[in-house]
Amino acid sequence: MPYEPDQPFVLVKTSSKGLRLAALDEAARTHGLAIGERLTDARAKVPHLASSLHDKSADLAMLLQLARWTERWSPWIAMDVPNGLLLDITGIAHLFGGEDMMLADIKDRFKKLGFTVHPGLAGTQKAAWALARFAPDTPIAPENDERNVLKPLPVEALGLDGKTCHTLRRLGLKSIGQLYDIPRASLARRFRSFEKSKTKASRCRSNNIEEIVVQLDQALGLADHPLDPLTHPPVFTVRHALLEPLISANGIKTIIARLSEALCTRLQDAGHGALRVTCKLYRSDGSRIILPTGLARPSRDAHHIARLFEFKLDTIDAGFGIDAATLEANEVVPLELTQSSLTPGSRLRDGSALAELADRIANRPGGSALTSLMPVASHIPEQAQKPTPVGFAEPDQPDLLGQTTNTYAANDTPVRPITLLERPESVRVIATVPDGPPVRFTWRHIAHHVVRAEGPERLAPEWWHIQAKRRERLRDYYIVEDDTGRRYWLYREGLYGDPLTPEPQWFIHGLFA
Amino acid sequence: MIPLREITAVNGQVYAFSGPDQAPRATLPRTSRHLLEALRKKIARIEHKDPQFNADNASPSMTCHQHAPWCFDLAEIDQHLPGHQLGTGAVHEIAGANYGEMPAAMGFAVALTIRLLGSRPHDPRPVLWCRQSSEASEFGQLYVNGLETLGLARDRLLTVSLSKSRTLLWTVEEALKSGTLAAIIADMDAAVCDLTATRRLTLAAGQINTPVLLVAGKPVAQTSSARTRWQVSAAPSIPPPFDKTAPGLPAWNIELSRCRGGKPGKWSMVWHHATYSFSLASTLSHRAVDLRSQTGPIAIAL
Repeated sequence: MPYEPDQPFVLVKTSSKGLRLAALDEAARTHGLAIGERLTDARAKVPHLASSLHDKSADLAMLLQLARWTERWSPWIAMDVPNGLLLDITGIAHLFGGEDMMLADIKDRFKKLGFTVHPGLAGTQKAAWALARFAPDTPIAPENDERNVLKPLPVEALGLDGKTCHTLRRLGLKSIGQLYDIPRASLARRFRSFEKSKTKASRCRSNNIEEIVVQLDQALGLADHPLDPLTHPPVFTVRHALLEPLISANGIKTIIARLSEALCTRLQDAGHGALRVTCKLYRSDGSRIILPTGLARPSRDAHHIARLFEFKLDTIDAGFGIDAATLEANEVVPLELTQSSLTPGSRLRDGSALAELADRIANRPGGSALTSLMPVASHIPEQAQKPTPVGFAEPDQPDLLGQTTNTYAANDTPVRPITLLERPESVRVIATVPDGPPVRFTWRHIAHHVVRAEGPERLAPEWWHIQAKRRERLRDYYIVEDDTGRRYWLYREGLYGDPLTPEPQWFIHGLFA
Repeated sequence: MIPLREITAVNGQVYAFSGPDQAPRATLPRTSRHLLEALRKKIARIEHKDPQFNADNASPSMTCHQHAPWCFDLAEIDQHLPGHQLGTGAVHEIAGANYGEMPAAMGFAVALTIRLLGSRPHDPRPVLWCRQSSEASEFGQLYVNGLETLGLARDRLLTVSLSKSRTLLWTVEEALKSGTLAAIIADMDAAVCDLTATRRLTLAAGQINTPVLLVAGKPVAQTSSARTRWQVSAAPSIPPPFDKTAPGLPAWNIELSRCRGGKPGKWSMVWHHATYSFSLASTLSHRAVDLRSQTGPIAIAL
């Protein structure tokens, strides 16, 4: 939709009472429009108003993109949905020539992208947030002086919800400074009593009161309020910059091998092993390729880690060339120094060779995790086994990597088929008596004549599990053999003669060897 | 003067040539049997001392124990195999005789694997089963409780499910080379498992002395480098003596359709999960009547 240059423009959202304004531009604001107004009212005031529907997900995607972009200033960033970004710049500002210069730089760069930013900079996350949104004139709080800076700001600047702010205003508490004077305990108590008299839902309200105290403490730096970063910074990073961009896969392989050695030396010094390693290749046009890798067991074997990326390199597009590469260990765990044994096969015995094989298979394009089929305490056949990736066994389960026992199966387990169909398939069955074993059944359009049958083995639903569906019915399992000798596992779901449940149904669940 | 005869083996067929100046007389053995023997040895040398002709070659296996032979323990079958055993450092193809016999082929592969594990009691390495995801949607996913019923311990089995057969081949080869596994069972896609692919696997298997069992749902027509080729179909089972209407132990009709250095044959056999042994169905069926009065491994198995 083409718009005139100074035409007031708004974004609208649908609500229960029709279209309402969700966001407006400067021109619309000068015409006296406000967020939350009905579009029809706005149109009446400003007839030449242009509008478009608000796309929340596009906004979020844009914010995420911007957040990634701000990594140029700080590695520790977070999104403040829907329209804010939080940067932890502890120990960083001097790199950009001080806090003022840094803010100017941020403003300038955002302006070039076509954004207007309202920055705020303070010792605490909450205070910076309040400054950015409610104090456009004083964006930077002097060190350790949040108390004075926040004093004149309205209570909304604490980030409380609308109802609480409304309550505070009705009590005459309009600015944050007024809250300082009230003793914390009595503030909470007074609010609680006030709310109790108003509503029955006191428990929910009292949470809000606590919230005021918590928010105030966080803003003043009395309570801890950590920033949850968008991407957790790597624990160990090694970087290699190149003079000339690389295109050949062999060149990149060499770089990764070198980086891997450097990373493993650092891991060795720290006594750690990596569980997740990410390789980032920076193309010369500014874009980057991210190759994540997971390991079944913590490792600091440079050759092994480098090899995991080899398979991935075949699929990447180097574009105009790679001019820098980093290798990051994102997740590490302490790994003891081990004496490498001289006897052949020691690596086989301790499972590290198998773990490396699992890594190679899982990290190849199109590969998948090596799993062992762990038993689950359930007599429902499809729930009785759980594929568990090698190296990630439950603590109480034996880990296949470490020890394998040479025991054979116990023979007291009930007879089970060697394959279980992904879901039981419906079969048409003819039985001599309604609740007897089948004599004929049709599966996948092929009729089978049953020669021998064994059963039923009755399996009832696990009623003691809350999540067990009430619709589940008991199953009568039969092992049947057709005239060619193939054997199948059929079951009848439900019982005959129960007027409350629908007719029983027959299914095939598995195949015997 | 008797014309000098030279016999040349071409593509497994023996052609006879005659002529005075084909080759120097002194180097040739007199009889064709000796000649064949000599040629076999020569080929074996070319083929990296193929263990078939070099029965117990130095294996890079982790254990130094002397392994029991990997065989059926049934003289009728073992005499068809070279050296009376299945080769451990080789590829074996096990195919269902027709569509729907995949479970039988899988069962036979598991039985052979259990025999292998039984012949190496000091080798704690697990078995890897590389499955193709399409097979899982056709015949179902592996059910470890059922494999345990056949006799395969659940903590000896690792599985990996892959969607592409090329990746699967790569995985089998990589797993072989790592030397961490006692045996590898793999679903076989006839489209990619050609002579080149199986030859690669055979070489890797021979180097590390680990067998590969390729399992296919239907017979594979094309040439391959597999040591043995089996066709398996389900056979009517012999009912247990206490219940004539119930299915008995798993029984298969197996056909050894190709065997390098051996001869083909056909048998019906029963797998005993309790003793980890095969028995020929015919001998068992004769004795089925008086099983209850007998004591012995078969009675225990039932």
